[in-house]
Amino acid sequence: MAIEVKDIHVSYSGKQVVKDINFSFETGKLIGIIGPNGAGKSTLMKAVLGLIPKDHGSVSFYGKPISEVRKNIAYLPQRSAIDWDFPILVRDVVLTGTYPKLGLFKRPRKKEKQFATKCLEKVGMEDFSNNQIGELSGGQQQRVFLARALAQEADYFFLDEPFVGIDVASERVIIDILKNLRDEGKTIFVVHHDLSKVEAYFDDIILINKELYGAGPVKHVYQPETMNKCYQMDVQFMQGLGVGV
Amino acid sequence: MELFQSFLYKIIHFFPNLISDIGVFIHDIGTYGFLQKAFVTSVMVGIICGVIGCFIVLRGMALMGDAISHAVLPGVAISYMLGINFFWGAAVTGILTALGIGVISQNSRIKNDSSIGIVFSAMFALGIILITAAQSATDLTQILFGNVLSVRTSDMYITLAVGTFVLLVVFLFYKELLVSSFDETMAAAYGLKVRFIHYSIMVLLTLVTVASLQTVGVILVVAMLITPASTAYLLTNRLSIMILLSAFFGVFASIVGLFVSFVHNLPSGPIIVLATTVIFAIVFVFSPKHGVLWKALQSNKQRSSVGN
Repeated sequence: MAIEVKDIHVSYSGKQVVKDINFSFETGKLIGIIGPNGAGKSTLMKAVLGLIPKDHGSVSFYGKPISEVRKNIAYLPQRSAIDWDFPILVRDVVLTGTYPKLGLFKRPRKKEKQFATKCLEKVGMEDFSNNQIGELSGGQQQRVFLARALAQEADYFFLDEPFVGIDVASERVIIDILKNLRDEGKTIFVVHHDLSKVEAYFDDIILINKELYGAGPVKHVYQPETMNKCYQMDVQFMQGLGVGV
Repeated sequence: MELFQSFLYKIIHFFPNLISDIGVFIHDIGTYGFLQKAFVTSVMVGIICGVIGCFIVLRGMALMGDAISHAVLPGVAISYMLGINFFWGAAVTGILTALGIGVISQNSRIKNDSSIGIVFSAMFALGIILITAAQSATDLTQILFGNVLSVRTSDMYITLAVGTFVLLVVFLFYKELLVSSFDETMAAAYGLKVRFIHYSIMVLLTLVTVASLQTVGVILVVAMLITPASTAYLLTNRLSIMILLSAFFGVFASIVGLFVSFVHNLPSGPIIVLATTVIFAIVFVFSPKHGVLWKALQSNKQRSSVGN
């Protein structure tokens, strides 16, 4: 398989947050990482990307380690990870997407700036290019960040909770673009927790709650029995609190 | 009481004599070598503090700046004992402190601000003991509060060299500094060595601190790093412009510091710091984008339009 993740374990200060994760996918898929709150979805994504240390485990893209494909990876952070007061304009945010392929010492020139504008048009945000990034609404900000990812011209996209707290129109724009990217042969991983959209949005899903409950095509994994098992811990937790379930 | 009266007298006569004092100051810069050295050093310090300060402010490293500036003290003392230029010892202890803080907060449950507090107060205490032991009491007040008029030729050249190096690094790696300050995770995901960048900024911070020792002094360096940059932050939405404005405010305050220090025989550090603070206060109130006055007017307008 094109993308293989083997035996990932992650712990924070001695406590295991994610364990024993194995999955593999072909490229050209839109893949959801699904699970209840605190299941370790974002942690798994960051561990796959090598952004946080893992206890062990390996990740390969067509047999290559991640260090050799980094320039082809676009990452969209959770909204809470960004300082929205940072002195940067919308167009400059998108322009940073051209940095990875520019390399050291080279500055973005006319060509890169035009490309950034094109990416901004794709998400319908060109009218805001001279706004400071914090002046936009949550959905608009997410679209700008998607434009930046497009400017990276990456093969692999990793989006951490892109649909949290955004308007319906922006969600529509974003999912349409992601599906287009998928049709162009790109591979997209999306951390997501709204179960109502799972079947409409994704080709494959990774179902986790600390450990893996399934990975594969939606119609195989998204079954009542598997979903119950994965979300079981929540039910027990609620019963423990005396909430009538 | 008499002291206080003479202080008031000085304050009252500060402004009427300002124009003639400035004339004298400019004339003396043309005349005296020591004043020229002080002037050149002040300008360079204003620029580099302003530039590096922007990254310190945006990356939330203000406390780190304070820590490193205090931590260079033992290095200064050791250099003094060894009879070498204080720059070398200060640079070494500054960098060691940055690394030490990183080691403590990454290998224990101690939070970053606490490990900064532990390391820098220890270094500062050690520095005071070493300087006292080296019996150079006059030097101690100079190092703590700055005395720009005592800049020697070799100090000026070191400041110029450090300044050129710092500015060159920021110019060459501007793109990487920008993206890693704005979105560190995205930068790391595409392969930037963000940890290396973080430590490089600490090294630059140490160099800038050391270069500023004689003009502002150890205790107040942090104000030169943070206040001009924060002032600029209230005026613009672009990092490049923020850096230019910050450097401008830094230079302006440095020159004011030198002027007042020379004409009225006061320590340069505190004057420089108060000059930056006055600029900050003005901008804080009147900034067209983020000033409190404008915001108040706007919310008033909104309220009255809602009322209608």
